[in-house]
Amino acid sequence: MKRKFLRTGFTLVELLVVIAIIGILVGLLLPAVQAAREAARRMQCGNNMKQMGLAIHNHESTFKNIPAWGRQIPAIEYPTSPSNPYGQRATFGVLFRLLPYLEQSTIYQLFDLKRSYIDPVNMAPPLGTLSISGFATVPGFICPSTPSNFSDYGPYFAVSGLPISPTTPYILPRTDYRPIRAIRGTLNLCVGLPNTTTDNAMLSVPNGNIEAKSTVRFSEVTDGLSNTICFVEQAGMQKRYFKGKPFPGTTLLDNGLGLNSFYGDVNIARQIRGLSGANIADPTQQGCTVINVWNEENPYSFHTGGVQVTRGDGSVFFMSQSISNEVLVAFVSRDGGENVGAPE
Amino acid sequence: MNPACHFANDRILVLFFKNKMTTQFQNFGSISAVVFCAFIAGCGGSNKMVQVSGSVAVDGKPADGAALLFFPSGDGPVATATCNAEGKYKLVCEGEPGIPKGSYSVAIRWPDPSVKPTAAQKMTGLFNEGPDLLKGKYESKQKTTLKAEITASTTELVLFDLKSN
Repeated sequence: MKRKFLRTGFTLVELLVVIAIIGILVGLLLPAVQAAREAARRMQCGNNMKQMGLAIHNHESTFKNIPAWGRQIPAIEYPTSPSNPYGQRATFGVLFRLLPYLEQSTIYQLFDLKRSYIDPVNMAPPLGTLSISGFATVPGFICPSTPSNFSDYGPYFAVSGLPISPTTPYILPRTDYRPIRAIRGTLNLCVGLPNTTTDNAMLSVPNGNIEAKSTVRFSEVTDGLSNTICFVEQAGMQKRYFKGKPFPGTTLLDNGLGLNSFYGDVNIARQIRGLSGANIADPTQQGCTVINVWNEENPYSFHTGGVQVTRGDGSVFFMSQSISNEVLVAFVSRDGGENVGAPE
Repeated sequence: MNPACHFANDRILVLFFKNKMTTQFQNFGSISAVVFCAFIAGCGGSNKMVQVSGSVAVDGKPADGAALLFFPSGDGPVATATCNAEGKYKLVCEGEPGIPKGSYSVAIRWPDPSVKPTAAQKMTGLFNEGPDLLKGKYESKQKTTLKAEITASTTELVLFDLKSN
């Protein structure tokens, strides 16, 4: 009894037991913390998409139309002094035109929108004369779940014939979100539709006349804004990912070279196509699976189980990767006349 | 992912356990039987994925790069395949190898394999496949007359021997 009262410390065994219990508790907690962190990242990502949906509506209330991708400035309208030696007339993309509505008008105002984004007036050295400050990353276009953060247009412009070496880095700020351009004919075949690619997504150029007009009116979205998708996640471009894993490749061109700058236009508005999804040797093999298979042209995210999508009414929903292709095709078209209802 | 593809094996296990349990724990057994039955019914019929290969020839030559779509006669996922240089293919369904058994109508198109994307097309993703050398005769669900029957024991389908004219 006396010994018991004299005792002032812990035995080694007691200490070890306590440490072991704490270890087990931390071990239980860590995966939960990781999941909570990913949930928070996903929520932030969804918020970015919501802001883009609201920006579309703010743009509409200012101009009574929404910007479409892919306009070419007609040659007669193109400013001649100084001339554009690169010969490109593609205009800035949808996302760029939303910058003033995402509180980024400082970047927006630096550029000359009467000219192409492939024009020395609108390019940073060594290809152009514009201040590098115009090429700052816009956090609202970046999904925090995306691991890669690289956007080198050097090889792209080199292949396009611009005076730059393919090894010279030419960094443009990236985006993980994209306007949809169309459903490719080969995916239309999967749902029993004819093998034709029609540019009738919400932000597509009506009638495919890329010089005439670069806007869509809300009244042209006859399926209803709530039944039409305008933006999807397509994350981690310029690195290839196949079903969540980085895809090994030898050169950028072997891999294809995904471009992911929001200045680009044709380059980022992608046609959605079906992929087989089973052949790691040839990820681009045709098939009928779409979401989270291959991040080259299709909706792709680093969230589990699907991608986040902005609808025309500004709402954001999580589109499961098990969504049927019929529903996906119906959601993409703005004037298909389908009855899709609410997803899941 | 087709749930039916996954629960095929579980069903046998479940029935096995159900029989054992009813003899030992009568109440628990019957409750679990109800739960399991609901579980199985919720997953629809159990279609096992069958690993099927085959080949396509056009005018007696292997159709390099021909794309096949297998449309089920009822509801179900579309299975797909692409031919290699020898004209051989393996069926794939919803990103996994294999195809559920059933009867299918088969759409085939053969994009001209000599049309390859340029470097710029690869980068911009604006490559459209070459023209269909079968002239679109079999390209869609509506146009095709080809059929295939997949049973649990099917491993190789008969050759699709087509004419380009």
